[in-house]
Amino acid sequence: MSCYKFQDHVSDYIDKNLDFSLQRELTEHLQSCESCRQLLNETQSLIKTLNTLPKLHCKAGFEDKLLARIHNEQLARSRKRELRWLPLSRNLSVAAAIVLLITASWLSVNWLNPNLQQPQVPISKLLEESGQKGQPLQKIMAPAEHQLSESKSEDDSSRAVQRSFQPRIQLVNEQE
Amino acid sequence: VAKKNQFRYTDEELIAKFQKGDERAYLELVKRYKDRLINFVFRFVGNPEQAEDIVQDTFLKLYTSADMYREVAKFSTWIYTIAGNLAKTELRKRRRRPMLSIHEMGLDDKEYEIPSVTYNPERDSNSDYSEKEIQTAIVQLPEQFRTVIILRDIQELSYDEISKIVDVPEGTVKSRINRGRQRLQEILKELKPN
Repeated sequence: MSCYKFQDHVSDYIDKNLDFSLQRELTEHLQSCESCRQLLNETQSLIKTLNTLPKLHCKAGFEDKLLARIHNEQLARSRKRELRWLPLSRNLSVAAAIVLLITASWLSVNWLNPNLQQPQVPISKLLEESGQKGQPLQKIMAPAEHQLSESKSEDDSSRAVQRSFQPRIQLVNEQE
Repeated sequence: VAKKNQFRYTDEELIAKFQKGDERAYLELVKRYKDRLINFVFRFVGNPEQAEDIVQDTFLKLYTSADMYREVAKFSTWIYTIAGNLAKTELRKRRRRPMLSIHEMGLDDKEYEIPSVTYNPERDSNSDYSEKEIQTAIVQLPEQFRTVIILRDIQELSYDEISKIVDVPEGTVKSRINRGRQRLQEILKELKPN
């Protein structure tokens, strides 16, 4: 047996982890090899030294410090959870503001200014009216000012009110 | 090994209770493992302050990730694996920082209850080394040898447990222990030639 083989198995030899024949082979080698005997003694001594090294103990208050860290960790996690929702709520606010703005501008244009509100009269009816009166279609659909300028007896304020609130198509009917 | 009897739960029973929300079970596990882990981590990183921080991190991880534990593994191997991984991460971080002196390694730290060397074996070659020298030599071991030497010769775990903690076959563990012991003797001789 070579010393290399003994070196490879010295720990197993100490722990008696070898099969019987190899254990006996190593024992026989030891009887004739001074350097391997020294290696065996040093290894056994090292194991004993390591086994008996002084033991360290945790400082007093270890658990208190740990519980404080757990508490902080839980707080940090709940804050993180809240922060995860923040960008979404911010985006929702922006979207809501845009929708509100669009609705407000639509209302201001279409609801607060009724002049722009055109009753939905079918084109066939307009053509029919045009035929009955012998007037061109453009006349029927003419701006309100054209009819209003003819009623000289009304004062300016009532005319203004009429201009503001009477739909154009009704003016055509009044003339009848 | 925790023995099951009327008054004492096994580690696995405690972690199961904690998984169901029993925080007293968690504190019992902390009580059982804090000193074992601080000795393992301290011998690995060589600094008691850092060792305590790592053990704190280990228990914090146990608290936040207890659901990750599955009963297929022993609790002890699971918790040692977490502590070992955190210790290795700490060492990697430290490698990026400037080197620490022996005094910064923490063996002079008076806050920790390191007893004066009570070991007084019969006179032999290794008893000529102080605890500080032995610790310095352990820290100089390559990581793969250091872990198994600490787990086997200081923590006195079985080969089977070590194999599960470091996640290598038992044969590899034995080989690493054998080579680690020889390497440790070489380092000690280099530290103190005579």
